[in-house]
Parts: sequence; structure tokens; C-alpha cells
Amino acid sequence: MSFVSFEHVGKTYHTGEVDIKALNDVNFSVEQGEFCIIVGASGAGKTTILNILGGMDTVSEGKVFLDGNEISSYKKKQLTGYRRYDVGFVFQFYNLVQNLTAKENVELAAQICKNPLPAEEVLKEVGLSERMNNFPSQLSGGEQQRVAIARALAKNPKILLCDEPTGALDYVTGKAVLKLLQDTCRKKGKTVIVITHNQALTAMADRIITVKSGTITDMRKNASIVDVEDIDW
Amino acid sequence: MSKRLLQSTLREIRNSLGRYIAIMAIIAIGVGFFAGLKNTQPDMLATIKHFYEKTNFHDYRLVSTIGFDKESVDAIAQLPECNAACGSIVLDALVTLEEGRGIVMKVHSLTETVDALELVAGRYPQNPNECVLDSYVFSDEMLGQTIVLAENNEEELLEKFVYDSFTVVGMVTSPVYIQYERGNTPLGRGVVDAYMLIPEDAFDMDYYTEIDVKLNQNFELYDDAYKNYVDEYEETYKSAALTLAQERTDRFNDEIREAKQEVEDARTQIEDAKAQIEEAKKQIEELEKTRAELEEAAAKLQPYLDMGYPLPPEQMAVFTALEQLPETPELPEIPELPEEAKEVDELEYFEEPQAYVLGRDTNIGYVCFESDSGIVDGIANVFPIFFFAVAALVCVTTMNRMVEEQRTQIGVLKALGYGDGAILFKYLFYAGSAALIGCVGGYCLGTWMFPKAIWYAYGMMYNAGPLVFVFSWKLAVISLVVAMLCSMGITFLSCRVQLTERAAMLMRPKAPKAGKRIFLEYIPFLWNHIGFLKKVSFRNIFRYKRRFFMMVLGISGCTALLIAGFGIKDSIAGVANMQYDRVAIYDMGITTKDEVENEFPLLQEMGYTRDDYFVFAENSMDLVTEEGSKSLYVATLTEDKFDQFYSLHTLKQEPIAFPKKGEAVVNCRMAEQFHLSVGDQVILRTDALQEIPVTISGINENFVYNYVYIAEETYVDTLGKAPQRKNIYLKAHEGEDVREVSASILESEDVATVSVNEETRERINTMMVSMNIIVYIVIACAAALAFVVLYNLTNINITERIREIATIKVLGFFQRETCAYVFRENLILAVIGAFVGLPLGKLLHAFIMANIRVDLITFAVYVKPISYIFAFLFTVVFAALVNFSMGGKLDRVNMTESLKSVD
Repeated sequence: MSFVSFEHVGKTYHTGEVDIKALNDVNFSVEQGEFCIIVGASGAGKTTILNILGGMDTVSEGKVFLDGNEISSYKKKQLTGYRRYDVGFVFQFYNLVQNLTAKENVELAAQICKNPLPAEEVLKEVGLSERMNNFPSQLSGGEQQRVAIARALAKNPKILLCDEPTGALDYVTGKAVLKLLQDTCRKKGKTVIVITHNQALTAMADRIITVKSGTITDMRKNASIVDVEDIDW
Repeated sequence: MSKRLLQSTLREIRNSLGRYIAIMAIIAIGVGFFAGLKNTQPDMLATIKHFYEKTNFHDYRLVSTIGFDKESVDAIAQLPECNAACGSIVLDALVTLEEGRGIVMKVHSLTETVDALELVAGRYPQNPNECVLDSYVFSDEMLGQTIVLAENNEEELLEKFVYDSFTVVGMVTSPVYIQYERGNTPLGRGVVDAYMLIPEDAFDMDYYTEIDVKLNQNFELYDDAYKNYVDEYEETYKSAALTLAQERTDRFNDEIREAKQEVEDARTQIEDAKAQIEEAKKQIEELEKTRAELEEAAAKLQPYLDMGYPLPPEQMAVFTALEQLPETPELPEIPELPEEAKEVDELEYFEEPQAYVLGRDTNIGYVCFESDSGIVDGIANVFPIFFFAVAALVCVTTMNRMVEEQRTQIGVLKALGYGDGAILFKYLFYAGSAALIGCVGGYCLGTWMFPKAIWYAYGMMYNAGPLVFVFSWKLAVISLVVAMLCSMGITFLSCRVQLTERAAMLMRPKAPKAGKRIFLEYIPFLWNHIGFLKKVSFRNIFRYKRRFFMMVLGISGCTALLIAGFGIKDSIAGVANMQYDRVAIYDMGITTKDEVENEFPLLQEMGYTRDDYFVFAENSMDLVTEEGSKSLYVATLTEDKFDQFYSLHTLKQEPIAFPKKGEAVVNCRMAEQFHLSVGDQVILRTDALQEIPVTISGINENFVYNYVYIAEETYVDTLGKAPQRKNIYLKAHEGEDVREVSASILESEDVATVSVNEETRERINTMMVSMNIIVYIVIACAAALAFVVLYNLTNINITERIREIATIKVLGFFQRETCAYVFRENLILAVIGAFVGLPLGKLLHAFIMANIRVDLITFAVYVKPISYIFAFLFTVVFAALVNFSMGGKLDRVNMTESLKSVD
């Protein structure tokens, strides 16, 4: 069985009298240690997939497995535990707690885990050893995203989920952040799933999943993986 | 304003109903509290005034030591300004109820015009053996029952009634007894239990014990104009009453004199007759003597005659004389004086009569109501300001937050070409409509609920029918203006700031408030020992200054209110206990009719020794100071064992020396009112305007009435004579029932009044029961305040930090941890607020107590430590409850919020 697998997943939102089908018969799988990119236009349903995989939302039908556990059957409290111990999340807008320093933001996540990595070490790995005691407002966007990645990594999760991690960053900084994510995957063997609307980024992924109108239109292994530095968009 | 903008505004209200309601609620609480409390005293006064006017409560009660002829009423009715005069009979009697209980009843004759009644149930008597009963003491179940005059009443009293039992046909309320006290009596245990009224025909009496007078004009209760009005005519009525009493006395005395004259005449006749009889007796004796002599002589001569000897004619004359002697006459009986004559002899002439005009200010209910209703007004002057301050603050924070949240929207509207006015209107409409609804709702609810609840509380002491509501335009307008200022004024100011910015600026997101180090971090010793999440809370607390202050102010306000509420109770309850536990340690005060030399025979007879009671003189005088004068009691003392009956000590419980010549001790209330301190010179002025200059040698603790204490030498030295000693403080023996003692003392003719300390203490304690309800109201309001403030702040806190909360939920914080993360700072703020509230509460309480001016009682400004603890705990519990109830809201924070862009 694959590390991550979606089996006939469907998701319907009820808003008033209108039912909106966000996902319809979604099937895909990701192997452990892979760098996977889910790509699609806005509104295609990729964020819904991420929400479900991240334990922030539930499925309407179908099953979702991570590392052999059926997370689609989890109750609310189990889902919280799942987010807490198994998932690392990187947001588009970093979502750092403004009145905590970089190090404290990392600790915020680390302290609720079973086997956290030392905050200082992780920050060093993302290249922020000098700026540990700065508040988010004193950091640049790229630095803030690195703190966010460090926060996700410090939890020592089974999977790292990234929602448009470069969406709010400029080209150069964005590249650096992607590089960091790719390195994390390669060196630490972490499974990383990145969501983006940017088709160009798919070149760096091990696995590319294309979402369109709530279904998977294409899932393939990347035969020619390109290093981040060599991608242009 | 365009239709769509209005629609957007209405949708805004619907979508943020919680916030809208919060503004409405805080305005409603503020207005309700203000208008409600402010209206309570006017409502209460109006109720009593209405009752007095409806029942024609007397302005004067004329009483005389001899009563009044029934014809006298007409004479009084002719006096100037007299609207109505009614003669009535008032007697105290022991009665037995059907249930077998014996009580002391004040029995009045029914009057029609003055002191009419309000019928609560049943009907008025149609037969002279029917009665109506005190509805405050008895329930309607008494209707149809029979009240029997007890056999152990004095014969003299029973003779004054035509019947010995009465059927209850109605329950009434009398203006004479609006308060629960029914007065004192020499009967039973010394206190009248209830009153009843029977038709005048049911009394076998040919005179009235009093005449009740109602004057023409009505005034506001306790108004100075009324005092002047009744003062103006008092002398007229007094002299008229005295004249009538004098005439009655003279007539009686004339009758007595005539009767005595008759007896005297009879006695003289009897004496004359006696003398004549004596004379006759002497003559009879003479006669008998002659007769005896003659008979003796005749007896000697008789044998000669029998033998036929002729006797000489001079000897024969003996026989002739004997025959000619008259018969011994029968003496008449001497008439005895009839038995009645002795009674006439014993008849004493009536003394010179006394007549009094007793105004309303001698009616317990009338007098007590002024001070009791004053308490409410004192509270009403302070509390509402506090509520308005908090209301304004809540509005500021809420509206500020709202305007800030909608920066972008304001920017869009501006960009679309809407004018400042239209945009401003949206927010003014939002705040204004909430405030208006809150204001109207709060006003209606407040002016209905507070007076009603407080009147209900007073219903335990007062009985004057349902509450009369008065509507005050002034109050309504003030409420509305303040409510509008609090809401719309503040919204206007918040909007101005945003509207001055350019549209483009507004559409750009405002940078989130930067994190900052707080001072605690520079104390590594402390900081390093604080848990990680607590650090977050501490930073947050100090990060949002405005929220911090608002929260602390709101919460401290809540604590302060609670302390003040509990404290009012403590202070009033404290008065009775402190006064009678450590100041006035005697059992009862007695006023005698005549001066007491040294020993008071009555008390000696009752087994008390000179050590059990203390005799002194108490006079009403004016205390004249630089800041004004005040009528109070001056106790002139002779002995220094005074301290065994009354403890002279300062508020700090340090003993004060017995005043020396030229010195005086004044009580703390007077010292406070006139800013007197030891060493100041003041003057005591008597009724006759004589002045006694004294130096203050001490300021003593005394809570009931106002007193100055001086030594007798001081009095004698300036006025040349000693005052009449007519006051006695008595300490009953261990184990005696003070009420029984007071009843038997009151029975004596030498005693004018007896007041038992235990009764005063009980009276104040009864008042406490009704104070409880006021305290509950304050607690409820404090809770409401705390809830609105906390709810609002927590609400703002959550909406401001929604991304942060969503993020930590994504990070996998359990619900409990999320709650702790968000609410810990609320609880810390609540605790800080509660701490700040402690001194604030002390101040508020002192301020309120200073506002509660009751003439005769000085309240001890005193809050029990337990009250502080309760207030603190209540506050924290309120805060915890609010947080608990907000838990659901946190739960509903959608984690996908964390994915959204900053807007």
C-alpha cells in the first residue's frame, strides 16, 4: 500500500440549498519520501484535497489513508491528534504568531509533539540561526516562510503539506524556499506535498498530480527531475 | 444613502448580531441602571404621597391630657386653613384572636374624612360590633373571625367598650401606619402588635382622645415648603386645642366644685342638727332629773296619803308638778352623709391641661420613610455613572474594531464614489440604532424593574399599596443623550480617522500589530521560569494596550460594584451591632416625667440598685460651628461611671476621657460634617437661645442620633443652674427579658418613654432583609456588566486573532489547549481587574456611603474582609463562565481561515 492514498474521495459542501461538489471520485497515491506537486487552476479542488489530507476537513465519501491509517474515519479528536503528531503544515501567508519570536514560533509547534527536533537546530538548518530571536515583523517574507517551514519540520511529522508556499514571495526568495523543501525531502527522506497553480514548478517534483474541476485528470511519475535552480517561471 | 448601502448595513447587523446585541445590551444596562435607580426614589415618594392624599393623612394630631369634647371638633374645623377635622378615639387593649393568641391591639374609631383607610379586602363595618383589621400584620384569612377583648384588661378599659368582641369584616391599610412599627404601650410586652378600627358607636365614651386635622394644601413630601406651612399654623392649633382642653377641664372642675359644695352644705346641716340634738338631750336630762326628784319626793309622801293623812298644799304641789311634767320627747335620728359623699371628697380637681399638636414628623412611618428612601437615592447618584463609563468604553472598543475590520470596505465604497457622509451614516446607523433600541429597552425595563424590585424589598417594612410609577422627561432625555453620545459620538470619532485616509491606503491591508518584548523579559529570573504558552499570554496582554485598559476597567468595575454592594450591607448591618455591642452598652433608655433627684424609686422597687442605672440630663440644643449649626442632643453628665453604660471612645477604639469643665465630646458624624477636630471651639445653644461655649476634647464613635457630651459643671457654670435630670440608662439584670422590664416600667405614671436597644437593633436588622434584595440587584447588575464586557472583549479578541487561532488548530492544539491559549490572558486580565477593583470598590463604597445621608443614623464606612473575598471570587467566576460559554465560538473557528490571505 502506498504511503498516501485517496480512494474514490468525494466532497460536497452544503451552502444553503445549493450543494457544491468540490471533489468527485478522487484517486491518487504518493509513496514515502516522494516530493509531490499537486497542480491545478484556482477552484480546481486542490486546496480541498490538502485540507482533507491535512485533517482540517472531512470527506463526504471515499477513503483516505496515510501510512496505513484510515484518516477519513477519524473523529474530531483523533483528527486533532493526527494534525498534531503526523502532519507539518506550511501556509501561503506563513501564519506566524506575531508576538512570538522565530524560535518561539518553532517551539509553539514543537512543544506539543512527542519527538520534536530541537528548535534551534531546525532554525539553523533553514539558515536562520542568526535571527532566532527576532519577531516576525522584523523578518522578510522569505525568512518568515523559512520560520514556517522550520515550525513544520520541528514537529518531526510524517508528511509535510505546503499550500502555495511561494505564493506570497518574490521569484528569488520563492526559489530558495522551494530549494529548502526539496532538500528536506531529499536529505531527510520526508514526504512533501506541495500545492501550486504554477505548472512550471512541476519539473522539480517526483510525482505530479493534476487536478481539474474536482477530479484528477493526470497523475504521473516525473521522469526527468530538474533541480530548482534550473527552473524558470 | 442608497438603497444598497442601507441593505448592506442591515445585512451587517444580521451578520454580526452578537456585536450588535453587545452594544445594545451595554447601553441597555447603563440606561436601565441609571434611569431605574434614579426613578426609584421619586416613584417611592409619589407612591406614599398618592396614598397620603387619597386617605387624607393628617397634618396635625391634636391631643390633650384630658381629651376633647365631641363638640370641640367643630371649633377646630373653624380654624384657618382647616380642610377637615375629625375626632377619634384611640385605645390600647389586650385582645385574644380566634387561634388563641393574645396580642396588644391599637383600637381606633373609624373616621371618615381625615386618616381614611384603604380597603384591601372585605368591607367596612355596618354594625357597631364589626371591625376592620391591620392588613400588614394579618392575612385575609382573618375575615369572619372574631376578636375578643381579653378579660385581663383593666375594668376601666373594658367599660369603655360597648361590646366585648368584634367580627372582622375587612382588611385595611391606614396612612397612620405605613411602616411596620405600631408603637409602644404599657400593656403586654410593651409593643403594639397591630391595629384595628371599630365604629365610634362601639365605644362607650362621650369624648375623643384626639382630633386629626387635615389642612387645605398638599405639598411634595418632606419639602421645606410643607415644613414652613405646618409650622405657620401650628401655634394657632395648639392654642385652640389648649383652650378647648382648658374649657373641658374648667367644666369638670366646676362640676367637682359644685358636688363638693353640696356635700359641704349637707355636712353643715348635719352638724347643725347634731348641735340641736345635743341641746335637746341636755334639756331632756334636766327634765329627767326633775322628774326623778319629784318622783322620789312623791314616793315619800305617798304612804301618808294612803293612810289618809291630809298633806299641806305645798306638799300636794309635788304631785301636781309631777303630773304637769311633759313627756320625755323621742330624739330624731342624725342623718349620716351618703357613701357617695366620700367619693366626692376624694375627687381631685383636674390639673391644668396640656395640649399638643403632633405633626407628621412624629409619625414613625412618615419619618422613617424619608431616611429609608434616601438610601436608594444615595446609591442612584453613584452607580449609574460607573455603568455609563463602562458602556462608553465597550462602545469605543467595539466600534473601533468594527471600523478597523472594514477598512477595505470603506476603501471600496470611497473608490466607488460614495461620500464620507454616506459611509459615516452606515456606521452611525449601526451604532445609533443599537443604542436607541438599547436605550428605550433599558429605560422601560429599568424604570419598571428597579423601582418594582426595590419597592418589593421595602414592602417588608412599608405597606402603602402598589407602586406609583412616575415618568420623568428630564431623565428620559438625559438617558437618550448619554446613550447616543456613548455610541454614535464614539463611532463618529473612530470613523473620522479612517475616512481621512485615502481610498488606496484603506484597501491595502493594515500591517498586523508587531510583536514586542515586554518588561518581564528583562527579568530573566522570572521570565525563564514562566511556561512557554504563558509567555504568549503575557505578551498578548501587554500588546493590546486599549484592550488591556478596557478589560481591567470593566472587570475592576464589576468587582468594585460587588464590593460596594456587599459593603452597603456590611455598613448598615454593622451600625446596629457596633452601636449596641460596643457603644451603647446599656439595655434601655428611660425618660421620666419629673426630675430624678438621685434614686428613681420605681427602679429601686423593681430591685435595681444605683449601680444598675445612670441618671443624667438630655436636652435638645443647636451645635453652632463656623460651618453651620445642627440640632442635636446634649447629654449633661455628672458621674464618671458613665462609661459603664456608654463607652466614650474614638473611631480607632481609643478611650476618651470624661469631659472636664468647658470641654465637650462630639460624635464622629458631627465632626465629619463640620470638619471639627479636638481643640476646636463650638457653641451649644439652648432653646431659650442661651449659649454654652465649649472646647472639643474628643470625637467619639456613635452611630445612632447625634450627641454632644458635657459635664454638669459646664452647664451650671454658664447657665447658672443645673439641667433637669430626666433621663436614665438602665442595665437589666442578667437573664431578664428586657421587653418585659420595659413594659412594666412603662406602666408607671412617672415614666414618659422607654426605648429598648434590642428593639432598635432588630428594627435595623429587619431593614437588612430588604437591603439584601438591593444587594442581589447590584450583584446581578455587576454580573451583567462583567458578562457584557467580557463577552465583547473575548469576541474582539477572537475575531482579531482568528488566523492565529486557526493556525494553532492546524498545528494540532486540542480544544482544551486552544481555549487555554486564548482564554488564559482573559483570566489573567480578569484577575488583574479584580485586584484593581478591590481598592476601587473601597473608594466607591466610601463614596456611596458619603452620599447616603440619613439624618439620625451614621453609617460605619466598613467592608468586611469576607466581602472583598466574595467580590473577588464572584468576578473570577463570572469571567470563567463567560470564557466557558465562549468555548463554542472557538470551536467554530474554521481552520481554513488559516489559508486565507490577510485582509
